[in-house]
Amino acid sequence: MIRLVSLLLLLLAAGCTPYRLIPAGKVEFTDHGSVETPIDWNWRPIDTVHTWTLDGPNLQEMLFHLGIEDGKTLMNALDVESGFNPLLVWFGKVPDEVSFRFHKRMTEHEIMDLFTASMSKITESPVVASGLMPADLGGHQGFRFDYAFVGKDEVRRRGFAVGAVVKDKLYLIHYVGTALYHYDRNRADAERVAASFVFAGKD
Amino acid sequence: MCRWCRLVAAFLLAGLAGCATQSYRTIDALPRGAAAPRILVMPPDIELSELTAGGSVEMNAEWTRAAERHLKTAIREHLQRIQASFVEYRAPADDAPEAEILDQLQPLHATVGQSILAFHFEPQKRLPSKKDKFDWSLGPAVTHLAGHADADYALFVWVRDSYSSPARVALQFVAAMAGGIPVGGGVQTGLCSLVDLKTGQVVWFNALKPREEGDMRELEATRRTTAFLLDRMPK
Repeated sequence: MIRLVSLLLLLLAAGCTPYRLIPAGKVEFTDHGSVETPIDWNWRPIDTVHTWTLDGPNLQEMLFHLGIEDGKTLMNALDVESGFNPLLVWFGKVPDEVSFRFHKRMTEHEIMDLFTASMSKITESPVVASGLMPADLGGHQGFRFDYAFVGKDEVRRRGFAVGAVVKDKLYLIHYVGTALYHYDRNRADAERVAASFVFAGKD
Repeated sequence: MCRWCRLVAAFLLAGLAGCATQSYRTIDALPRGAAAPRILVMPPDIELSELTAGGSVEMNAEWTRAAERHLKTAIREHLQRIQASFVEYRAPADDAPEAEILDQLQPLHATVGQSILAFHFEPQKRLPSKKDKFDWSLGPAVTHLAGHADADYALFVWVRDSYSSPARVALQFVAAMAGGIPVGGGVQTGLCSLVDLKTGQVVWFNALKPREEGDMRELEATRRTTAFLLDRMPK
């Protein structure tokens, strides 16, 4: 419960942060790489994640989880153990669940499961993934899959994710939008962004 | 809620509420050809809940059914009064091909409306890529509605209302007696949109700011809420 509250507080705090413009063109992610976007987006960071949107995160959103290290969660806020109150640990209490963490030896299937488990926690709705297949991310052999869920607001959403494990770190880019409209409207733009990813130092 | 508690709550909400509604439109009047534009009135998406002493809200089905009836009546009366041309939505059979799409339009409208509230009405929170334009859409799926009812625009209404349980009212009273500790009561909030059924664009939007007033369990109070919601709607 404490973990859920802290996750909600984090998302609430993120909700107060205004978006900033990402103009069409090259966008650099410090230390990780860069992408090219054909259109303007709006950007704000949440935790360790870069998030982009056009109409608001509940309508469509593109997320960049870049350089997740071995043993880490997709977002810091998903780390149940580190967010657990040390006083409770002192009294012998332990969290009632464990974090879903990336491990460098995970198979692509396991990474997809890590993703759906993490996203289910964030969205508070069951996220289902399908269509896992090989794909390229920044010139590295990786994988991609589609996913879907019905949010708490009863709106169906679709998404796709492209990822790769490079030098023992996970790089994952995904795009999600309302199934009825927003996903399809900018899917091609999102695909172009993901396809343009270049790892840092490879220019 | 007791009169005194309402007064305190009203002061507390004053900063939040300001005026009751805030509207935004892209057109002042609906374009007219030979015939007046026809508005398809969607069933109101409404939910009434009870606010417990602990602060959680529990949906009350009986109140919700009553409020839905009242809101349909009040909307119909309002549109008749302003002499708008309208038709009420009739849901297709569950196995109709368009049933799922039409079912999704209601929650999509609510989510688009919440995004408009979050990212348009507060200038400092606007999405910079929109360049201050009011540009929001439900997408081309709304054309299914046009074919469904031979209409030009659709009116979507979303309302959430909650009322303090007796235990909550007692808690408010005790808190007030114990030095004026503010304990909030039920809150009414809502939004509505007029959507162009050719494009899906929202051409008019109005939001009822959160307020500790109104009682949609009663028809007369629902009429007042409806007047706020549909205030200055183009026709």
